Amino acid sequence: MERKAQTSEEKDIILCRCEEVIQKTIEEAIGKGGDTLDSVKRSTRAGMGLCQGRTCQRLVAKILRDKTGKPLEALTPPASRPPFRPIKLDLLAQEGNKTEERE
Amino acid sequence: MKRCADVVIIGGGIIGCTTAYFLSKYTRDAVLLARKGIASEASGANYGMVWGQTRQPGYDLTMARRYLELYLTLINEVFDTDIEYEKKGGMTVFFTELERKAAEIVTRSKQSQGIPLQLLGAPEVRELEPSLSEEIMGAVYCHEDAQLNPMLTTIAFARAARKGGVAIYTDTEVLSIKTHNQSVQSVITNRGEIKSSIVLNAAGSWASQIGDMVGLKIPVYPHKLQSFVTEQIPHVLNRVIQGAQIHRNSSLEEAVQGFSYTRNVSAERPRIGQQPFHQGALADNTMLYIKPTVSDNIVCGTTFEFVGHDKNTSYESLTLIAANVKKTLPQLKDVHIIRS
Repeated sequence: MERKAQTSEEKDIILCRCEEVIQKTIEEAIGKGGDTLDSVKRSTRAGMGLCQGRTCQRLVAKILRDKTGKPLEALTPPASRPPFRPIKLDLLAQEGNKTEERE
Repeated sequence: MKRCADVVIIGGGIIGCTTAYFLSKYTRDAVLLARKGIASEASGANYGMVWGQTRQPGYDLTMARRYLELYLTLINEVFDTDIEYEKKGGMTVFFTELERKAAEIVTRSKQSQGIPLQLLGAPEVRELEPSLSEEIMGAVYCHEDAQLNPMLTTIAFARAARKGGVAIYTDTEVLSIKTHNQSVQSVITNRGEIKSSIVLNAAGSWASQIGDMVGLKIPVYPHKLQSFVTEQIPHVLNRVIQGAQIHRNSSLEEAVQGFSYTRNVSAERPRIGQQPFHQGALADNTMLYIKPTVSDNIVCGTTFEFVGHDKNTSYESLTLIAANVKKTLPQLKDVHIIRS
């Protein structure tokens, strides 16, 4: 069956696919006083999933700009830390065992 | 921004926000200042363990127990958002005969002080947590212990405080505090001055810097813990698991200290690079934490370092944590780490 394209008015567009956060949720978080990328992330989980905000961060930033009037340059992204791609825990664990032996 | 207040609370973490909420019952004129946002620092990045088993008898234990009761009231009557509170019991696992001996000593002594600890053997541990490694000899268990989401809890307190009339200003850094004849006159921030005769220092690991502004020496210093988060994997653990802080060549006495969470510390600011527990290797300054979260991600930690406010994670630390986690919960070895 063919899916009907959604319009932005419907506000149920998924912005963060990893955590399945919809546009409406982001807008509500901003409405409740979330005015930074970090606070929106913390209250909605957008950007906390497998891809760590690679897709949704720019979209959230644009909504924040539109709702708060802050320029995009003023919206500092949350700290990004390793790993830069998901890695298996075992890879690190094997290294850790070597480190313990060395120390 | 308000220019005058009954009380100025410095700090948007758990201490500042809880204080702000309870103060809001007595005054409509309190102000809370947060250098960044609410729960942007340690209060948003910890394991959220509301535990009795790690407490010392007396004041510490009384407070922990009071909080366990209080949270139920707050959740039912005050908070307007879920804080993921779960009273599932707390478990400290051990692997060696020395650790077992230490656990036994600590369990007996804490039992006599009224803390309902149980010493579990390997079969009982696996009955509660079937995924844990066969290598685990046993655990100290306390059924009263609970866990929550620390970030959501801090935010919930801030919302309740705001509802009660507290003015909360984020991105507001305290630059100095004006005093006259040993009393506070006002707080100077990057957004202007607020007159107040009462200032509450809830700045957490910045408490000593705030103390310095009025000539008070407060021996609270940052202690860096690192963690990583796995992808979502449901039903691996029922509750948060921790290990004891014991290094590889511990004596029984040191192991007992590790299990009872008592340690002699200096009031002096630690030097950068100084090892908190055991001089020498980072591997001997680790402690196991594995926390299953409501969102099914698992948070794993940690190493301990004195490196000031540096918040970067290091390869060495993450590998040591991963080795500890794999040893405790072998099933996690094939799970992906998504963030540190």
